[in-house]
Amino acid sequence: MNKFSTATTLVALTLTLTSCGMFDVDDPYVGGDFAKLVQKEQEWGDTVKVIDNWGIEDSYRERIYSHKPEYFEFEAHGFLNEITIGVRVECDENGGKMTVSCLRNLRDVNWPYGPDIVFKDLDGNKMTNNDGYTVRMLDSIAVGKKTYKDVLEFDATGAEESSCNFDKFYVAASDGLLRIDLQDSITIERKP
Amino acid sequence: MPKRALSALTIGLTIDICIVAFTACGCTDTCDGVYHPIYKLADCQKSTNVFKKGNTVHYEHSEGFEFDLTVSQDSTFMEDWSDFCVVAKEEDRSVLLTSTYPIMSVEVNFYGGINVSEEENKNNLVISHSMPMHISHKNTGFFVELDSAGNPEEMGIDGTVRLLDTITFNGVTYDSVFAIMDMAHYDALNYHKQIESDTAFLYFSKTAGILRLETTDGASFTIKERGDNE
Repeated sequence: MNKFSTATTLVALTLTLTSCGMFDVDDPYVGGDFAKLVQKEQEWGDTVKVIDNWGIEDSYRERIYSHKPEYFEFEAHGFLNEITIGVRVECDENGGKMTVSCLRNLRDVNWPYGPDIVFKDLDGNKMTNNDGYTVRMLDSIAVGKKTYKDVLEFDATGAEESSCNFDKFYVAASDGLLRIDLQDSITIERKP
Repeated sequence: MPKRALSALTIGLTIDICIVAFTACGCTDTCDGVYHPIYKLADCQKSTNVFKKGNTVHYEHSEGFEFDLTVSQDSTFMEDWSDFCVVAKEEDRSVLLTSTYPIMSVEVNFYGGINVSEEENKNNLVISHSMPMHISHKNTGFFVELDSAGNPEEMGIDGTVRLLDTITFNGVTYDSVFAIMDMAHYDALNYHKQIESDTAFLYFSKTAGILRLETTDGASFTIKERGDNE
């Protein structure tokens, strides 16, 4: 019975640990520095106040959910500016997939997001997909007087036909929305 | 998209048909005596000069900045819809006003309400003459019926659509301006309910377009004509 219990426990443990990156290299995982997005168990939402370099203030309703070490999801919606940002990271056997969505069709309230912008087989700290969009993991960036760690930068400026109404955004894995750059010269930043 | 364009007359007619074919209409999977209206836009909905593509109007926002709204899209199309023994074709017009920055938009929708179906005309059924206009910005919407001249009609609950002889915005006086209550508060009045948000009004004139738009979260923007405003 003792040996049977031990064997059963080992089997159960094996099955339990057969999720992202905890058992062996064939298990689903999130690759490269992008794994920093899935290092934490968190689920929260808040409203973050921002200000742009014209002095116009706005707020963004944001929500983060991450389940270590396999999933990360972030959404933010502006109140004044009709800007919507969505990021989703999912593990798989090849390093995972990141899906970014941004508002394209302002009029279609049933489908607030534009076409999915996908990055497959996450690896390293920078990925560019076939459409010219780029994602990059930064160790940190400073916004105002504060420094934020583990920041995802999304850059649409290299896309031939961007479906986003902004150029770049910066999202910290644990803190949410930090900054949005748009129209070459406008920067919207999180208020201290 | 809400089918608020379905007029009371059309709803009543639909119910009449269904009463005649009661065993199948609206109560089971099939429906005998189905009504096939074809709703077209009225001239006043098609030719509102204030919503011509390229038209730009300058506004001042309650947050203290100024911006332009430009008519960036104007499209007319046919929509198919069905509802309770009605299989309809409806001509709609959708106008989009957008600003470059901040990135904001206002939607203006006109729904066809003139039934031109020969089939229904032959049967001497009641013809619908509804000419609705719906304007929305963020979470606030305004709905009004237009008369044949393209002016909002003062109908429904008193005070929800009011004609103002004159009103002044940023130093310029406008006449024949309609103040239209937002849909959420109109519905609340209609159903004797209370809702926790500010009542918002749209100030609109046929000749000047949107003069002032208030949202139920307390924000607003007001026309500001450039030049000698003071």
